Amino acid sequence: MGKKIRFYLLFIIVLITLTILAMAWDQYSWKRVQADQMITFQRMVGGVGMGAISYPIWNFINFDPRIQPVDDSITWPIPGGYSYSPDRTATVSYFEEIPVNQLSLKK
Amino acid sequence: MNKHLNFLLTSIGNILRNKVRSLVLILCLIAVLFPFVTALSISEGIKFQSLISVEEGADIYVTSDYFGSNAPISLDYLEGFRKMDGVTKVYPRIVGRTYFVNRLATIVGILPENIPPSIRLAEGGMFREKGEVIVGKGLAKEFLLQPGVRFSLSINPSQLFRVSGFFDADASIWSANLILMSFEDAAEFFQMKGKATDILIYTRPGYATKLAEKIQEGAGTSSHDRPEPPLRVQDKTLVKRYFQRGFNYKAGVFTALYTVAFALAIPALLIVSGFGQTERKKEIGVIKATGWQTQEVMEMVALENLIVSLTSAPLAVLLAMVWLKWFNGAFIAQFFIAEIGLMAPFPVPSRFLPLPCFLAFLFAVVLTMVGSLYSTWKTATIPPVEAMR
Amino acid sequence: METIIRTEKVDKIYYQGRPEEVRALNQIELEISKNRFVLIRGPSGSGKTTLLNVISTIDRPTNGRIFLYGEDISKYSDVQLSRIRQKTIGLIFQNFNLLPRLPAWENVAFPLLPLGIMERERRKRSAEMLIQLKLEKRLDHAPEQMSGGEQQRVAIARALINDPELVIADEPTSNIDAESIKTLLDILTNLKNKGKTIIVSSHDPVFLDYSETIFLLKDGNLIDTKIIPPTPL
Repeated sequence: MGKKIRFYLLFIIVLITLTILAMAWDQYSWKRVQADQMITFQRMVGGVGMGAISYPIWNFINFDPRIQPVDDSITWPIPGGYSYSPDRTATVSYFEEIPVNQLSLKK
Repeated sequence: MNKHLNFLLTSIGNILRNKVRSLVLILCLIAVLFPFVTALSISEGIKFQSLISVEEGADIYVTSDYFGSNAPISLDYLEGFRKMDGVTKVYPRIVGRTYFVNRLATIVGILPENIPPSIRLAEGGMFREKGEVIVGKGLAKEFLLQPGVRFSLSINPSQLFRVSGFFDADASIWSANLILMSFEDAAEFFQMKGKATDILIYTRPGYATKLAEKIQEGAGTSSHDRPEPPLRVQDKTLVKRYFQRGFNYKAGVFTALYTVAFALAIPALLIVSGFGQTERKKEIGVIKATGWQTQEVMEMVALENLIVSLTSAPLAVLLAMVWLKWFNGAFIAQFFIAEIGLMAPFPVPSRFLPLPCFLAFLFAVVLTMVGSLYSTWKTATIPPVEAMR
Repeated sequence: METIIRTEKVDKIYYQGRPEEVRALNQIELEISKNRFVLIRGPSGSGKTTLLNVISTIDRPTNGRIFLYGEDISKYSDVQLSRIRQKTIGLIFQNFNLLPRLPAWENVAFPLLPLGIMERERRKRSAEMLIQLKLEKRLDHAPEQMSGGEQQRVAIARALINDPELVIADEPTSNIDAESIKTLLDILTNLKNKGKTIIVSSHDPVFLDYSETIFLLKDGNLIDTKIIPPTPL
């Protein structure tokens, strides 16, 4: 059993080290490798895209609230606060209109 | 110290001895932690891309406000904005949507002057002539596009485009279904000459908020005699607030949902960890009868749980990493990024930050501890003869 | 002679106050001197095992007091009782209660873990103990790979690993063959000769010739005590 225990302990140490190294590599790749391409793209288009959807189905609100901060989806909201709008539900982002532009509209 | 080391090694021995129980427990924990780690890492990946989009975007976005919604803005405003103090660059942009065959695509029209001198595309080159466009990798892959291929789009099928190049797949998820063309081509395509969807203003550092207020109040627009609708001005501060709220809210929702899921998983894990509990109870009785103290039994069981958690959490993180990086989040990414189907047409962004991974470990520890410490304590505090029965 | 254990009006009542109440021990008063071979006799259900459990501190009496070396241990905390079991009492269970899938030497060495003794030393000590009990070939065998007699000797080795003053065996002959019974008696006699106090509960007459003190139980009552003057066995 002693040998097996030592092997398992080693396995856990290797596992944790591997996880930490993989995370460190991931951080490095995001900051140093992938970021360049993203920066170039965003500079080129003037900043497009913010939410967890890759095309503006239904409306632009979850794609990029800068382009359309108003949710004019006809199915939003429905009773219970749920929406069938796919960019509203099972994604990791959710943009709500921020009521800040209520400055004095003098025009 | 030796005593604690003994307990640690014995707890590992116990895990190895009760192979089936340990394996079921570890697999259950991985099954619970894997979607959690996946969701948060995808969220972090998109968040990172989103932050670049915010940081590298314009300082101020100006559109018209038609009945409370964003609306096209006249190009007449450009000159007025350019003359404002603190403004470094002003250019119009068109962002719209149309269908590429049956797939919705984002059209972005920009002035060629805005394109940085050294850009790197996955294939082909930057558009130079009228009708040339750069296409996202998602569209290119789906419709087998090659540089030089000509196509037309709905809304205005009479206008022909020619693929000059493709965006790099890693550019961001929003480049996948995007078609970039010159501002003129976009205006012609949408038949909105003299209009832009928004005007992008770049300012010197520290000027953005003041300028946004000025524009909102009407500065730079006073030369217009004809009545215009009010302007909608979004500065970087507002956009950053969108960014923060948009992600924090959902990350919070996910964490809350998973906390509930974990809470519900505790009884399930109690049952799973009760796998062989009668044998366990007897073991505790025996070791107590041979002179172990309750706290020593608890320490050994806690160490067992810690080892199980230290096995499960890194395995869940590594599995999520392998699944997202090598298999591009097949089947699972669709639950976190809308409308991508079983196999995402672009590299699913995933970023493994220490905090969510640590949180996963913490959840595993809490789950296993709650699942076993109380029952162990209960068993260890009754007379050993009862536990051995 | 020094008294090692004394009980004072010890009761053990199961399901107290309920219709199915069972009085397993009733007002038991006994005294056990050091370095004696004690036999607790009686028919099945007479309370032998219960009395042994209470004396060995793995169960608590419902009423009454138990003195170990003159100290009242009946109100001792869980931690204090654990310490007593660790240092003073070695237990041999009727069904051995070995930890399954654990090799013999680890079963024997298990009580040494909380003492901070490292693996090499634990293995050395338990091997010595198992060799004394003629189990040198069974060091790395799991209980399920051993005969009843061998398992019992492993249990004895575990009981003795901490060199206790008091060795308590519950029905030690019930799960072993005749050959093993003879070996067991030799072992217990040797322990007695080394100065240990042996308490055995059994209805097996084989112990009668070896015992110096005999307590006879019936229906939870101590009905007879026979004390043979100390003579070398």
